[in-house]
Amino acid sequence: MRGWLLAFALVCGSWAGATRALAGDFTLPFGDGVCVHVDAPYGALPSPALFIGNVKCGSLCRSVAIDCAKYTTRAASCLNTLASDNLDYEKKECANNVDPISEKACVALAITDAAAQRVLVKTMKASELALCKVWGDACVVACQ
Amino acid sequence: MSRALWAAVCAGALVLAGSARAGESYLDPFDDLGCGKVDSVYNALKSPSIFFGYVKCLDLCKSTQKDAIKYTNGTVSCRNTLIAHNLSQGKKLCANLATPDLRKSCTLLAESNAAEARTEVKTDRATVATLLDNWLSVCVADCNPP
Repeated sequence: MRGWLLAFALVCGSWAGATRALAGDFTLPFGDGVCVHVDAPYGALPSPALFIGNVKCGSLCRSVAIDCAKYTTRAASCLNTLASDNLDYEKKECANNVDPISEKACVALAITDAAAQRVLVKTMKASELALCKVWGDACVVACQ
Repeated sequence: MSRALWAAVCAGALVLAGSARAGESYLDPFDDLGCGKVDSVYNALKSPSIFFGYVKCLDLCKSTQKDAIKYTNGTVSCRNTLIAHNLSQGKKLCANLATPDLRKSCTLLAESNAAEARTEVKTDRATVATLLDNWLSVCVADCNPP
């Protein structure tokens, strides 16, 4: 989990750094916290033995696993929207370049970086959804 | 909150529910980590002066406020879903209680907690809307300093 977080931070950091380098100090208005991190829902889950002894143990387990997937999907969707919104901001900021060639290069870099961001989110989402399922299965087994 | 702490908190709630004490609410492990808080988006906003000197300063200010509202609405929607989920899970925990009366009062309390949580979300949303309006006013003013 920490590995994912580190990878996420590194990619986001390099993304911001790269855009600044070419575009001339991009200023994205939102910092961390606009969207929930893709790995946060699974990371919030306690032990799968959580509901042992409850009358409706299996149902409780399945609900939590479904919600884990739901919140993960929601987080990924939010991050993809953020990537698109950031791209819009960057394109507008590229207008600060007086030279048309510089402006075009600035926009091209912003587009490339947004695409890379979406690929990363997609990969992380798939991994986290698999973990949510594993947790749900383990929780149901623990009920028995 | 750490996973271990959540486990302890949830385990505590389950013990209480199992001991036939009506009215223990379900503690959702996703509470803040599933949706974020209603004011998370506002708190993530940078200074309203950030676009000073930009060619499209006004446009950027307006887009930012509009997007902040959009993300806040997403968080509000998520939290309302989470509240409904907590209510549903809480009712399942009420099934642990021994008598119909205890189960009924347990369910009523779960519903009352859910209603209270929804009101809190609504109030927080209104507060954040005002803060975002203020942010936009300052951002626009800073685009055109006297």
